[in-house]
Amino acid sequence: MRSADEVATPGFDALPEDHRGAFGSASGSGRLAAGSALLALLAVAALLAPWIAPADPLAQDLRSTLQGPSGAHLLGTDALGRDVLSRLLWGARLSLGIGALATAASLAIGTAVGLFAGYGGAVADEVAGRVTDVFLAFPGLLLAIALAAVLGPSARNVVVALSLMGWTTYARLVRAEVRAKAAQESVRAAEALGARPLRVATRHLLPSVARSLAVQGAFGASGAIVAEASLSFLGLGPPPPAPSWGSMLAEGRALLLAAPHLAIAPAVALAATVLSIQWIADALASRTTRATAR
Amino acid sequence: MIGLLLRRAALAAVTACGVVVLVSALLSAIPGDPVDAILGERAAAADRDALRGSLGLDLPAGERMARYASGVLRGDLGQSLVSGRPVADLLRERWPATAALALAATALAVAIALPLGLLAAARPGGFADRASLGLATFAASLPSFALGPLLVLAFAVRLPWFPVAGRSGPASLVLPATTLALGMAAVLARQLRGAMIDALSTDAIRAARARGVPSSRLFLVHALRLAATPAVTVLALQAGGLLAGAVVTETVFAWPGLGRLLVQAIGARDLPVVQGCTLAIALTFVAANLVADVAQLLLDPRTAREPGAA
Repeated sequence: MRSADEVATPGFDALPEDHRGAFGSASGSGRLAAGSALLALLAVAALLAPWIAPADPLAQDLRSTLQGPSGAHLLGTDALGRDVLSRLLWGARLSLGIGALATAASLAIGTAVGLFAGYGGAVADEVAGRVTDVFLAFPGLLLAIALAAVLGPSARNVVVALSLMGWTTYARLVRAEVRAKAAQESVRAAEALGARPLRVATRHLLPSVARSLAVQGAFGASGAIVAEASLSFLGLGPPPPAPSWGSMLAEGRALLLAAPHLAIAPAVALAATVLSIQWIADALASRTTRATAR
Repeated sequence: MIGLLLRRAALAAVTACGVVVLVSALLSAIPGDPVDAILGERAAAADRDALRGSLGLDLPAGERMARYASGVLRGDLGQSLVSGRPVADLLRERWPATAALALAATALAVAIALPLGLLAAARPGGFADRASLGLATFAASLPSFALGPLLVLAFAVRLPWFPVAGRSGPASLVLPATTLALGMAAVLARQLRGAMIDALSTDAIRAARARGVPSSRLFLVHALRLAATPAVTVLALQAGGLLAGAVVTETVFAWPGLGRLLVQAIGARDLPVVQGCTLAIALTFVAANLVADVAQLLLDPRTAREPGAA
């Protein structure tokens, strides 16, 4: 029952690690529906940003800077007179895109390392375990910050940094499940019939891990989106004038007195995104727990 | 038992070596010529050669790594490219501010999480349970660089109770510590709740209940003792992780600690300082992990029977 809970998410310290089964199962489908609807809305807004954004996110208008929300600018304007709503919509493309890419790359690396460790024999397990330990020794965002610092600020480097930071959780999960599964009759039988290790790994071991990987991946995705915003906030994300939520928050923080809407708008967008993904992940997690309990 | 402790310590030492290797390899991760990246392409040839020499870029990568590692063992982390001062001295100067922030945040997190977790476990599904769950979701969806400015807006601007930023006396500690503590408290409270509920269903507690131990004593003494072990482990890990969390929070509040030093060094392309801060934070985390492992072994000898569990 607790095996899913024991796989912590050390890469993303903002995530509560224990509450995934905690939401009552009764509200599970409600949360799944609400989370999916909210995330779909955000994803559509991100995809359609070029068409639905009321203005060019980079167009400056120095005659109307730091305006509050109005009919002309629904969420006001920033210090350079740029339309905040348009920047928010274009920022969703960056945030969701980078989050999705980084999660996919982390999943790929983590699955490969986990399979290698769990099914490659004792030496492979030891080597993979020590390498994983070294990456886990960098708490929170530290490794991504250091990597992004040396690689230089760009969207591509953020994806690289987050992928190199995020894979460890998946590697541990895959390793644990593969070791348990590899001892089962069906896998032994396939081996006895002469199936090659790669075939056993991809046909017999991976499918059984897929469900828990999906849950962990959903939690990881919300962590990756927060991490991207953190790097952008620190000036390590896509360089200006790119409209990233994190850099918008950094700009807004400096102008907190004059124009609080500059910080509040991206904060709310980020919170809504993370919340929607968390709801989906929680619902998936409680479904998985119930499925294994049966 | 002693064998297990030694194995944990040896694993931590291996990890620490790996950390040193990875940190010294950061230099090789710079795309193109690191000297160009640090000085810019128009720097004078003499400056470029001097930098190349001081970073060890004229040496093969393996030798450079060995030199860095032996320096680490002697407490020599190189010199800042900006101020020319030893990196180790800079770390020593910034360390107390980060330690003060981490201690305050940990204390605050425990002060919030202990009652919240216990009340949540006392009545699962009740008000405190819902509140702790709400806090957990809130903290996860509002990271520190969003929470920090909102706290400043509320409690330093609208209600001028605390300073906006900087380090000036105990009052300036409140907002940054709260920013760090809320997320921590949320995780800790949920962990404590789970551990208490697990503990309450053990045979030891059932036996004590059968003996007629009053339920408040059962809850606060017997069950809490069982639940303390996992909670202490989580707390030790979180306290180690605080140093990394502080990077963002210190930037938000202009707090003069290690994290802000790291961000400033990144901005100034001061690579030895970037490496030194990264190394210091990671090694502290490895040490905190080891402390958590040892504490768990000592508090709960049952874990010693499952060497594969951790």
